[in-house]
Amino acid sequence: MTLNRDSMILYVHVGPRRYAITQGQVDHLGMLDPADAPSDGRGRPLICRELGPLLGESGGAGPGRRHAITVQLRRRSVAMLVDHIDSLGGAGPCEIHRLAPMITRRLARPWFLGVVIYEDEPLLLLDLRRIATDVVIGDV
Amino acid sequence: MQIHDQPSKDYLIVRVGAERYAVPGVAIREVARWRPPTPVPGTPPVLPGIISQRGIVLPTVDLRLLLGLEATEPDRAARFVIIRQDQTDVALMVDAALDLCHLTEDDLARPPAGLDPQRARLLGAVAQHEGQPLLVIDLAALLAVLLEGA
Repeated sequence: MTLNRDSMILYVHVGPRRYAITQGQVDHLGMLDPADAPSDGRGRPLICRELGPLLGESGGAGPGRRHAITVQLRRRSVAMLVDHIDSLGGAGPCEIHRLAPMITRRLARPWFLGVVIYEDEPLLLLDLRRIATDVVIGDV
Repeated sequence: MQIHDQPSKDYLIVRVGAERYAVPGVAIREVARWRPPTPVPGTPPVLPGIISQRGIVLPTVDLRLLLGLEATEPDRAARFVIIRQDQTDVALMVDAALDLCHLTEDDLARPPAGLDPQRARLLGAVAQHEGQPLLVIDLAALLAVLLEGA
């Protein structure tokens, strides 16, 4: 599967790891302080969650402003907080590789759309909408 | 007297822990230096992550853990043995790649009874090579174990 330029890949730093996301799943990128009780574009309280612990990273971020990836669902918006967001500079259309069945069968949650290779490093492509949905329904 | 030459098969001898294993050569695509795989959250330690090898994304398998041995930090001798078995590509993590050998059917014996079941289910045969025991891995059985999620 190949993504076109409309579905640009971004990468996010979460603790020591890098992950890939598609811009098509993102409503807004920015910075926010979850202590400020932020709201979404419709005035509804924004659900803020650190992405690191959801992905098994230990240790938490300190208080203050954080990079936020906002995903808008039908009734709620979720801001996933990360250490850093960047674009894959100069990268053309990315090929998305499937995860092997021996891995997908063992995943606790179907949170990955596949893998993209950047600078010879395989980056997991996060399914942000799936993660956000699990956050909203209180599954995580 | 007529002598019948038995066809031999190629194997890669690898070290896992203190033991020597033989990986069928017909399935081996490449041997590569170990480097840290990208972890996939939510997967068990026996699948430490994925690597990109020549543009192909491969799951990695820690053969130590799969064989029921203790995990250790890989050193400079550690290798990925990249295999293709039944249309599935996998990078097997071993402590070292030692040598190539040729074995005939006569060299192979059934694995002894009483072997640890976790190990026995992955073995196709045992052999003696240069005076040392060699455990022959059954790659089809190995993949079946990985795919069944046991």
